[in-house]
Amino acid sequence: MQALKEDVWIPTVCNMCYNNCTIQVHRVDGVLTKVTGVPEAPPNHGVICAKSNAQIQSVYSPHRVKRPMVRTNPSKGLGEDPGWREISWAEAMDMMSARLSRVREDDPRKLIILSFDGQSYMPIRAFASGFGTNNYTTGSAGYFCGNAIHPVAYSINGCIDIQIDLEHTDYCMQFGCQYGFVAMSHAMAGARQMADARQRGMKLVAVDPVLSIAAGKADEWVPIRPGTDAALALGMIHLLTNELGIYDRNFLQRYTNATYLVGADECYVRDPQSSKPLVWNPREGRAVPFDACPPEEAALEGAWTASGVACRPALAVFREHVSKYTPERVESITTVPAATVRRLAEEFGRAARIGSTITIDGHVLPHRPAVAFWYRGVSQHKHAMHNGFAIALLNVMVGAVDVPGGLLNANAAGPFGFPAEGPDGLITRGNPYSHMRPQWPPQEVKAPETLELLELFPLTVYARAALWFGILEPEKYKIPYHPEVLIHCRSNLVGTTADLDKTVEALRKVPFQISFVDFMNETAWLADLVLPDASNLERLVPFATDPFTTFYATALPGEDWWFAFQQPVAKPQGEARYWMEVLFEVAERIGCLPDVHAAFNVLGRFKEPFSLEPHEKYTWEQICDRWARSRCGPEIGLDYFKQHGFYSLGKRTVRESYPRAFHNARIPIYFEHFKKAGERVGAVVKELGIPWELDDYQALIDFKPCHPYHRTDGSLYVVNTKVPFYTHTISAENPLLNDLCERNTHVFPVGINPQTARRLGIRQGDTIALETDWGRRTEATADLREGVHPEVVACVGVLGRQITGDLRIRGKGVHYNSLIKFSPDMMDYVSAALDACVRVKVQKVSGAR
Amino acid sequence: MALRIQVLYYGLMKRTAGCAGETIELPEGSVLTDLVKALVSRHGPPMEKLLLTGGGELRAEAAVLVNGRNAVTLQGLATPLQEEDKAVIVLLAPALTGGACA
Repeated sequence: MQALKEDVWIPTVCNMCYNNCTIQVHRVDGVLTKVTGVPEAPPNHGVICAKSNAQIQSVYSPHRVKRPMVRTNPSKGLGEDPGWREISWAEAMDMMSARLSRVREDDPRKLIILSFDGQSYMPIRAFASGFGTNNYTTGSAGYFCGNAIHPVAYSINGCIDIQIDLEHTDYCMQFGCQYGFVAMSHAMAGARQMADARQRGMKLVAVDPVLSIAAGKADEWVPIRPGTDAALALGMIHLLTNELGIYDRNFLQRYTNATYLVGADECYVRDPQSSKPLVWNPREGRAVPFDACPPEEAALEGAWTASGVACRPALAVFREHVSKYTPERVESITTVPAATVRRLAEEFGRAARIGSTITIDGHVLPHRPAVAFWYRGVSQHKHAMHNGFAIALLNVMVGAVDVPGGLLNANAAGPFGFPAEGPDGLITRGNPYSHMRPQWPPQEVKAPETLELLELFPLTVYARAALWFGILEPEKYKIPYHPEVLIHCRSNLVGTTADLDKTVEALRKVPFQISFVDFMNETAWLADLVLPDASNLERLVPFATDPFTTFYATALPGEDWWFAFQQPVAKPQGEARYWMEVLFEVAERIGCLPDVHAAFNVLGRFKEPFSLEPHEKYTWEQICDRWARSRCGPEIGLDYFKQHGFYSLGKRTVRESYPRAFHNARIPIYFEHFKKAGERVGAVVKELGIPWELDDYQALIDFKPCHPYHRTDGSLYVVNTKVPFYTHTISAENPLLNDLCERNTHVFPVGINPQTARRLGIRQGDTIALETDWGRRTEATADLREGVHPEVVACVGVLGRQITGDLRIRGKGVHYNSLIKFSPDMMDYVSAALDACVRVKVQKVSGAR
Repeated sequence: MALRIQVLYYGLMKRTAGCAGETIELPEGSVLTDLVKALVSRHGPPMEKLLLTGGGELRAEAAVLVNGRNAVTLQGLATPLQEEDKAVIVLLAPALTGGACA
């Protein structure tokens, strides 16, 4: 037997979802044989999921796109054969450079770059900056995700994302999400902490229309009518503040705007000299600026006249506002029984143990071991921003924000920043390196310049749904140019965006599309030029994990902050290349490399002597090395990362994990700035003649029903849920993961409650049709199960693929997004989420086979 | 004595300025805000729109490096300028990524 020439384990970073787990890959004689975790490396400490385990199958798949291809059929459509013709990279580079050069000369904003490559965020942004376009994204290229999370987290925690302090909480309510079950952020670390917490006795309550993976393992599943979570949260707040008297007065006085006096015009009453919001000081019997009154003295109840205006504290106004959410009314909205609403409120309030403290590493801190958490489920609705804030305010009322046991910031407090007081004393972002724009102070409102219409969304972080409206109708939104070239990579826009036909129509409007893909998909099928993209095991990506720039992989309390590099462990299949290396080469060809370098120096915080000389050309490895030494110190270069994979910056301290007790910036419970931002938006859209909605720009958080809520025709809501072994289209082409989907009886069929099924004459295994009121229709196999709300049909992920490399994957499951109507009236005009609240007529097509 | 500041433009700034760089003369004791005012005065409203918010603050996307150091890490618009300082001005694409679940 011949001795092995090579037998190595190489550290790198996974990219089978967005969680950036550290992994090591076993390579024997040039062939990848196994993936495992790295025991000493955060965040997953040696543990990986099914997707990560399966990724070698993706690298070696015979269905990879391996060579550049150009379209020969000018007619674009999913039903059209593009007539691909293989070309050389040299030809492809000539073609790409010529197009991009013309666009840059004409108007660089006509280039759009869309990807889901968050690991390459900084080089992409540097390229976009150097080229001169402001139309790019490395996040969700679809229509929603964190629209009700990121802006809310900025307002509550001072950063773009949130965590649950599972180590110290006793009561965890999850609204339409699955934190700790491998299906969302902090996949593996969260799962470990969730398991430990449940073993410790933490109660988990899952509020969800579907018995998801998380709900199936919870202590209690609370089935809820889709889109009504805000009513439940506000009903609980009503019970806590108006009936049970369970709310954290000290927290509200000290750390929120609950004491700010507000008048009938929904604005703060301000000090005439300083313009600062006033609070009432009962001891002095007068109103004083908020920062001139000891917090514990500021009144939370009462009515006075200040500066000539009749006014009350914001909390008093808010309590009166939520009093309309009685348990009985909440039941009628949500279908959650009134008695359950009362019990949940009382359990949540008692669990918060207001007034208790805990000592961690010598720090005596408030202990509020109750947390309400939410994510995509409540984001995908017409009134997403209100939904998110309603649940966030549950935590605020009991003081469970950035303290042990509560809702924690992901990276507001860290080695590079700390939450600070902004205008009116409200919290502004702590971490200056975040890749999303903050909500406070609100962004400038002006005529649209981006295709995403960001200039009309002063309170949100991104406006991806609006991008498609901007592409389809730039004139309507007064965008002064038309897109000319689209570069697309590591995503499947047609699959992940609502209304497949509308997305195809938008893509066809862009004259030239370049798609970097590892597998053919619906989006690349519409491209003019298809380029083979290196997989995550074939590419070198510096700072693929950066817990301060992104939020996908931030440190959990007490764990290490860290940077990690992705490095190639396999030779690229065919002629695959890392798309950033390609774009930097294009930048040199078209003469904007100095601009890209100049932008990269700023964005990457390059330091002398490692800054990039604008007019010098570097190899990609040289750039990576210089960046590493700039950020980690002169001794920590590329070689360090090649050997170790990650670099630790030390533990996340108590002050960073639980910053609430270490700063005085306030959280809004009353949103005067919403009202004012809405007025600014209103003025601009009126002047420009842009049709827009302004109703949700109001000072008090409310429940507002989605469009389908009032339908009485017996149609059912259709929702989708996630499973841990299937994320995005990244994992879609993997044969092992496809096999797991086949073996799980809930993935490809559509779930329906047995009672509902009986009413509709549907039996297990029947073929059923789901049809929207605007004519979209799909068929699926019925899966009768009790774990589906009676008004709901439930599918998994976004399946039902039409264009795939591997034919075995084609057509399985339901393409949920196709059922979502893509029209401006479905958009939340504050958060820019698109409403995925859809109702379908369900009927039997044929019996079980 | 006047200060001569070398200004280099990158990205969209170059397009707006109509040149890759230029030398600006300022009175002694000038700070960065004086340089910005001089550039706005020379290149007009398009330059002002790129550099400043409606409230007169430096826009988050307008990065100014003074001798290689980002002005936001110095004293912002109050950063003092010296003879033969080099100011690099680059317009960044806005921070607007994110989202993960669609």
